[in-house]
Amino acid sequence: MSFLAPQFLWLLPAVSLPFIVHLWHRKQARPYPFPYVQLLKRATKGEKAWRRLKDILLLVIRTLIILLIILASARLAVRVGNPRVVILDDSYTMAPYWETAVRLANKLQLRGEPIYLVSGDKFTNHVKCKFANYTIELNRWRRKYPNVDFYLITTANKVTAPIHGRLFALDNELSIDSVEGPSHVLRANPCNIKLYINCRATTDKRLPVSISCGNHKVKQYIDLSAHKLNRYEYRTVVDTPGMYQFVFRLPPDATPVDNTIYYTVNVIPSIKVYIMGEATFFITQALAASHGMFVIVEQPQPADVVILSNITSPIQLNKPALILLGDKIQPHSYSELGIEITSMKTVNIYGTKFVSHPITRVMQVENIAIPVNRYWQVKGGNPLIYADDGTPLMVEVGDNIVVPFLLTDDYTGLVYSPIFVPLLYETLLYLTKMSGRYNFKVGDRITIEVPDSRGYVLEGDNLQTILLPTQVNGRWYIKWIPESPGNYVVRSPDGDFKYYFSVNYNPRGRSTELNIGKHAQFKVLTRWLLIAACLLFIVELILI
Amino acid sequence: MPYLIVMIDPKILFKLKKMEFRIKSLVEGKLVGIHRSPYHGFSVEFKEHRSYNPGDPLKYVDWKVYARTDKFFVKLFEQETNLTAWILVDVSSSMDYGEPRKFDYAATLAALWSYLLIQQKDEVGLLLFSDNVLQELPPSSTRRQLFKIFELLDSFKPIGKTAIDQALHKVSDNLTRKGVVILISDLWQPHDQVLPSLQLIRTKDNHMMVFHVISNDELVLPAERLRFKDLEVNDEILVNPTDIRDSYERLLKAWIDEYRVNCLKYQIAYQFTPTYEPIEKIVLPFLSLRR
Repeated sequence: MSFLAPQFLWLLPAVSLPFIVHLWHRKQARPYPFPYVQLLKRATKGEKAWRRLKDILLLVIRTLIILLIILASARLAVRVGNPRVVILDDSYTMAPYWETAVRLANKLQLRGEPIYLVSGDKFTNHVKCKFANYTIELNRWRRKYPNVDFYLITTANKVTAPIHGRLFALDNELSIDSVEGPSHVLRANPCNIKLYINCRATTDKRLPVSISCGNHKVKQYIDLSAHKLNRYEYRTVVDTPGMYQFVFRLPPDATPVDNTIYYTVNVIPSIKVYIMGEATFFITQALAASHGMFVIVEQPQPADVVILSNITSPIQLNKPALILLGDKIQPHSYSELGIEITSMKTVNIYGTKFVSHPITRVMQVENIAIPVNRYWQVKGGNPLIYADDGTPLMVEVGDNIVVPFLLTDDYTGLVYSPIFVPLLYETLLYLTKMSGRYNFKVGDRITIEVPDSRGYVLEGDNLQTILLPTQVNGRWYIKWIPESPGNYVVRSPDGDFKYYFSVNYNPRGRSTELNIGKHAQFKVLTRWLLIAACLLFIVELILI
Repeated sequence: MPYLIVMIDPKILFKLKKMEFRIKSLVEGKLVGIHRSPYHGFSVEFKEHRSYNPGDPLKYVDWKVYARTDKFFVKLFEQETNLTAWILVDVSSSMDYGEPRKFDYAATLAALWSYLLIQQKDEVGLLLFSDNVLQELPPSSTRRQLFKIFELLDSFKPIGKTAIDQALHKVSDNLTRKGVVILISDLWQPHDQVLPSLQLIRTKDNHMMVFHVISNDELVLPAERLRFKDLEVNDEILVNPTDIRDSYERLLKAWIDEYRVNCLKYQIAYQFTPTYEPIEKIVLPFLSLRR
């Protein structure tokens, strides 16, 4: 319940009027000499209870009548799903805010309540009025359609008169539209964090950014240029594992957006990669671009995973390998490997277009040995990545992965392609058996499949405990609900099994979204209150 | 004589002058009057004969009967005497009420009765009472007594509580002979206190008349919400008369009926006397034309 004209609530003390009048009347009743009051008392005996009840009833009714009239004057309203009309200013001055304004209009649409989105251009077609008259028109509409909630999205400097509608003025000194960046755990050390800040400032100014990790706090600045809606890039490198909090200190008049981002930098050690064969430029560049996720080692013994690049002669290897079929392998080589290239196909992986040869047939390969000039055979395993038509692009061959990239001389694009690093990362991670999820949040139910019923050690930043698996359908699972964010690992006592995962902050309950729910819609109850007051008045007359 | 002048039309007074008040029961008087006396002797009215007894005065022997019957008979006569009337006027505070004021009406009634009785040579005594006997005028049949009564009634102001029983007891003590007691009151006293006293007067074979004076304002309550304050005791009630009108009228009727019925039972002449009634209308039923 709410009041649309709360200034009338000052009249609420008038509710006590009937009480005051009652008491005053009682006090001021004219004394009247009477010969024999005893008889009157006897007469009132039977009537007393009813008279008292009647007095109380009249008092309550009169109080209620006044209360109802005051509430009606204050325009008591209850929340209802009124239709909404969003009026979007589409003048040129809105250009810097246009995306924000449209997003805001869409947010207003989110609650599933009826909305009539009226954009400015359509609007002017109908009404033929300039923006200067919008406020007047809006106020007129408010009176004409009392059950419609009007939302006006415009720039603040245009609003000169008070508007009886919901107003979203976007002309703040600084408005940060959004902050983009990876909000998940980065499994690297050191970790490169890159944020993109879409914001606009009316003056040249420095946007303070506060980075905190535990008790450690660093303050940095982003220089903003005036009168531009720019996309600023903010890069930083953190080299200590832990939870990081990036807070943008916004001035109070800034458009509220999520100005805080949380990161977790994991403690997983870098994956040691041994490149066998030709360490082509694209591979070395891709690994270097990982900023420490992968470390190239010179000897195969300490390596976690081996990359076989353009191997043309048979090799013997006892480690998981990523087999890259590069440009040095001619089509006939594919045939020799048992891979037939049937057509070129454009596929979309991780949102990036990528030209690849889909594999139509892969033969089995025995163990790790790759006998070149022999056919490979595929035994079991699931492909990791699919093309648009469902064709597997990355094929598991035994314990190895075959990535049939078409690598041309102009492969620099691939190196810088965002697809390559995650592809490499996922593949290598898979091969090193360090698979795990990284997008858990506090309160999630985490279920990890483990090989057997032994007790497994759960280790976290400040936690070490033993979890006993439970059996479901013949398989063993460890179940756990994290209570605090951090990096965790579940490992078997002998270290054969390791499952790394991180738990991030749960953003639920901490929202900097514009709270549309607060802009509730109301139905004014004035008419019903007045009807109730009239009915009570009739009852009062009957009682009198 | 303000009351007579104000309230009684001289024509009515002239008319009343021709009337007389006679009581049917016997009264014991000192003077010769118009009322029947229980004493026999020489007087005007022959009653009966009885056998002569030795010692009877010879002048009462009816010689005509002796001539006819040859036996001695003595003539007996009934004595006509005057009566002694006590007029009891309630002067309690409750009488100071109404328009016209109940006390004024009662005083006028008392004055009228005094006038009528003294006119026919009866003795009239006046007793003004409230919670006690406040003034007492011994009975007398002189013209002067009438003026005394008027003067007393004129000068008195209602005061105190109603205690009819005490006044009746006092009169009962005062009455040495059979007489008439006229009670003029609003009877605002519980029945159980008043009725035994009325009965006491009647047991002594006195003639009793009760004039129940009620103001119109008592019969019909005012309309507005008022704080009713008792005239006699320190008591009050805040009430809206419209709320209790029905029950009040019912109770008032029961109150009056209780007196009426009991008076009938004790052979007491009860007269409901609302102050809006002309006073002669109240008195006339008790009078008859002078012979």
